[in-house]
Amino acid sequence: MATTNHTKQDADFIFHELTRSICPECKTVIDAQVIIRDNKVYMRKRCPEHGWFEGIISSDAEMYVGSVRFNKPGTIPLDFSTEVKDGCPLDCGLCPEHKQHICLALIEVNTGCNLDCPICFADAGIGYNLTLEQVESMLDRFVEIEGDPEVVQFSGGEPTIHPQLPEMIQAAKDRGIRQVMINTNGVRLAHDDKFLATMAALDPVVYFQFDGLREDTYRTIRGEPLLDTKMRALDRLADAGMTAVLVAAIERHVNTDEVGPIVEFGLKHPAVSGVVFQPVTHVGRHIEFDPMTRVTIPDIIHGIVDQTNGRFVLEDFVPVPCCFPTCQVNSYLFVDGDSVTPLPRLLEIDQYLDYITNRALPKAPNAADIQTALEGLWSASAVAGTEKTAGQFECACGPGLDLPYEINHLKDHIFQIAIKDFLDAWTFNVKQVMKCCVGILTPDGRAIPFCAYNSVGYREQIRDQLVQQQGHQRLRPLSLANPTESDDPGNVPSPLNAPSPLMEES
Amino acid sequence: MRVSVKHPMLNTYSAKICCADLYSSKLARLILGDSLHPGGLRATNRLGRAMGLQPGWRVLDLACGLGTSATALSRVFRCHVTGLDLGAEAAQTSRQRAFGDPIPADVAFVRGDAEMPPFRSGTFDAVVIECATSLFADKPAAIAEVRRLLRTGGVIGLSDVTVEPGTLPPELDSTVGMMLCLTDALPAGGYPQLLASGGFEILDRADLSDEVLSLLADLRNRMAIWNGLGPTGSPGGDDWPDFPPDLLDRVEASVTRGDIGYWLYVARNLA
Repeated sequence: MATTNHTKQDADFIFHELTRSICPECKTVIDAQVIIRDNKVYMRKRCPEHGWFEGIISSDAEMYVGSVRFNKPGTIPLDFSTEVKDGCPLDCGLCPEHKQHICLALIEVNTGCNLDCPICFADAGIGYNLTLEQVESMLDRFVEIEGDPEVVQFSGGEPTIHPQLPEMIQAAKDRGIRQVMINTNGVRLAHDDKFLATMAALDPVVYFQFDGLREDTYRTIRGEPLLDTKMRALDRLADAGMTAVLVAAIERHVNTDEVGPIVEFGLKHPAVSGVVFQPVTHVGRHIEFDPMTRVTIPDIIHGIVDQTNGRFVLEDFVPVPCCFPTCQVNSYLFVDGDSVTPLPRLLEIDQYLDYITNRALPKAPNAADIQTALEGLWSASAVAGTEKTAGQFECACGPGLDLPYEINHLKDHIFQIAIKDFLDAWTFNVKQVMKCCVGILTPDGRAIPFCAYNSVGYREQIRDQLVQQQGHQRLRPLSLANPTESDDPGNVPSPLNAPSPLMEES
Repeated sequence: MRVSVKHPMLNTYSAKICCADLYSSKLARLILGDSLHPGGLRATNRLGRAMGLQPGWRVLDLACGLGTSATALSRVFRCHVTGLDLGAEAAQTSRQRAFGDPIPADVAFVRGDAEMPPFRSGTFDAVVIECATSLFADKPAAIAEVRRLLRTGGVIGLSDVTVEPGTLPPELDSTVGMMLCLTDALPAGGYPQLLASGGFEILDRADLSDEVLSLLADLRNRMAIWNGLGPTGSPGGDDWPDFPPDLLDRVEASVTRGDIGYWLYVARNLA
């Protein structure tokens, strides 16, 4: 291009917006441009230290831009835990500038795991175990900031190997939290009869890692063949009368061709009431990936449509208004034997959940009730397979469906599909984090938006703090000379910056 | 003994049993959920916090229903809780639950009349009465009994439905109205008065009327399900009453206006 060209050229992209993100190298908060090229959406940003970065954030610009009208006004929590000081995302959380309350709270009860997966956003390994007392005080704080908390999910690490998980589930129920979930790989459920019986008595909804139906998928994502274990655990859950939601981590060149089969499998399995697809988020441990071709929400929607023999169309998937609507889409299906009817075929969902371009509700006699019910379904706190969800489903589509089922059976006929794209340093968008409604509760009483927790450095900070606190107890079994040392806060070195001797993960 | 004649069912012992059994019915659970009162365990915990329940306290849950609150209170606040209820199934279910529960709770259940509690004087550090005061036939006598059971300085925590005089929709002056504690409820100012004249010092009060609104919203969802069933059944069996279609709207309006509410009160035994 040495020749001088006097004709002006158009850029090969549309400049969509300017936002803020973080540098994938050093996590510094930097400006970021969102651009559209060839109907795909990319984020472009420059770190003064580490230069330019570009990565895809949505493979369908029309879907991405069209989702904006599903943005619902947020709800203000009863209390905030931090002040605005350094600006988003460095003041979590929640700070008074946050735009939404917590629909779904996660408590990571431990860092240890009975697997060692090559892909693990939580970087599970040796670290800490929360005590029951810590979890109780976190739950109390959650009730304090939410008043009427909907859902708590116990996660990890692997929560089922925490010896006090049953007590923790009971503690959440005792505090009137409507729905309790456990996020598990299912290994213990597959083999431990006594534990399964305990869980069946407590009856949490099981958020069940299930990445596909091929052993190769498990070898790549989980590091070992697990298909038999998964199947055994699911069958045992069904026998115990428990409900599971399949949760699939989807990675390019690994299992993008399995999204349809996973839905079909879930529809047939008696324990399964829904499927959640999560494009792999590249934090913690992950395999090599190309930021320009990573999996985004439209890839999974297209995958489901293409791989299920015409069961679905693109319009069956509707953005979720409570979080930032580019973060998640949901669909609900009414299942009766082999017949599967997506709820968006029965109702003009977008007329009810469009908060910007079309403010008038449809003329149905109970339009306001339908809208409330749909908001409940299209929410991060909707838990598949519960009576509450069944009620919302019925209320939303009552007149259009003849439902000859009793309340306890109706929920067995409703199937949820959710696609949730968690952010990592490549896709991190402050705008989305500011309205995030999934929060990780911490023992110091904060609720940190999930993607900020994973990408900005909170996870490492809190893990270090907790390991330091417990490390004294666990590192000193040989020096019993001073067993009370760990109770003395004066002996705990500064939790930040100092790498912990217990951190073994690379 | 002063007997309220507003609701004839409440006058005799057998009617009380009937009333208690009604609360263990499918209908009651359908409307109220397992805790059998607005707000469920959230409201129970809030009451416990307001009362300042301390670990190791002996706590009585008067008219404990299915024992859901009693069991939760024992675990959340680490108290020794006794639940008293007249319903046969209530005592049985709660005992079974407490024993079958994977997480043990420090709770015992006794079948008996909440207005004549079979315990020695000064036995308890705290007494909880959720959504039951409104059902007592002789409220001052019941409060006097609570005072007898409490040690000096012991705490009573009371949450109940409030109805301002003359505002109740006539359709609710019925079984369902009684279930919702509406027919014999006091106005919001009536409970503190009841407690004060019974020798208690009011420590705290809070308006939980939002819980009634969310209960009504849940009820709306549940009824929508049953309405979808057509002729195959009714949600509460044969005793399911005929609701006028706009009844829920009108009750909601009453709550919004403040005619119907849900309040909690905490008071201390002065003697």
